[in-house]
Amino acid sequence: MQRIYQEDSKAVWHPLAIETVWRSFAVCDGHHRVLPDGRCDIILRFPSDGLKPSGAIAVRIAGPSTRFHLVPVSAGTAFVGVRLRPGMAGGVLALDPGLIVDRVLMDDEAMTVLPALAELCRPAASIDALAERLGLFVAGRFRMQHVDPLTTAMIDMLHVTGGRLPIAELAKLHNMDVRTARRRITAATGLGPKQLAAIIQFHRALRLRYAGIGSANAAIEAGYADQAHMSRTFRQMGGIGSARLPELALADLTP
Amino acid sequence: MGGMKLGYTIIYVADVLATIDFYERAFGLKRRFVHESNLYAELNTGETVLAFAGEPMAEMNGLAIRPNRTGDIAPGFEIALVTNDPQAAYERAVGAGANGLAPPAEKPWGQIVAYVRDIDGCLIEICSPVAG
Repeated sequence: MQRIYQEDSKAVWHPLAIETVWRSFAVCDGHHRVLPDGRCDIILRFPSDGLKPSGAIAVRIAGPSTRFHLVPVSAGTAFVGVRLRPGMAGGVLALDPGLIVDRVLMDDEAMTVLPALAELCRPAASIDALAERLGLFVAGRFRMQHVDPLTTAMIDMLHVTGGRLPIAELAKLHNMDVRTARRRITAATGLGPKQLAAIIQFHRALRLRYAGIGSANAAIEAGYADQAHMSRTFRQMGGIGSARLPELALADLTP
Repeated sequence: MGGMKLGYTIIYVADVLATIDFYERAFGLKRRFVHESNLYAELNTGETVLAFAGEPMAEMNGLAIRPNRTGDIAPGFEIALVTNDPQAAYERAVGAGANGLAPPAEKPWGQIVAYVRDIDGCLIEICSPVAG
């Protein structure tokens, strides 16, 4: 095992804003494959023995990604992150997520955008304490008025339908014209509805494959034209070849 | 007026005979009635009848429906079939042409649950009885 990854999906801190508080600890040198999930994360990175920080805590903001990337990690590096629910980043970061698509704001850059992040980097007695600090930070900053319930409903419906509902239908079901729906979803998530839907569809297909469903059936169920279409998407979005599924410990693969 | 009771679940399908044939092979259920028009059939499912009606019946009934299709997003309901051996039932269903979505897994409340889609694209839950 290359790393230990855990999620706390109880989201006791703020169920509307927080999808999960996750933590990861690298046992040996290697790369983390981070799949695109269309969400924003606030991440703390620090050297650790697996239980507590043993050095400086650095902070970063990961914007919504549309393609996979590999993060090099060295043994003894720990991460604690809070993954914001889709569409909730603006309400927490006071930032247009569209400006940080496929970007990770490191230390100073992150602090400039959100000076309050500095309080997350204070020394901590344990990784548990850091996880709690992150959760409370988000809960304390979240402002409901930054979130449009109708937009949230549309984003939720995209998730419920596995990313398969066409935007025209989605808009109609919410008594909205397509342009308005597209603008609102893009403003809330930083991604166009088509792009967001493609990411959701990709994750669902991956989940089906990891549940042991065959490639042909997974492709049909996930709504791809055929197996080749699904394989292409796995390669492009996840860097995952069709021959063998890599060992992944990630977001959205746990129900 | 007395209380209502759930008497029938009726699913509109493209080909009633193909569907009941599939249900017999996939889930071991037996047909108990097939109308001579082949537009309506019932399965022997105990107190609540699971029945299938041909899509033309929807129009005859003055309805408009979104037809159930395997290529579409699953409709937002499921039929739950209870068995003491969900693993064997799941394998049998998939072997008969059901599209497996989730092999049997234990839920937090102790029930074993699997999901497949039938040949019309409807969601079928295959589950163990709820304990207690």
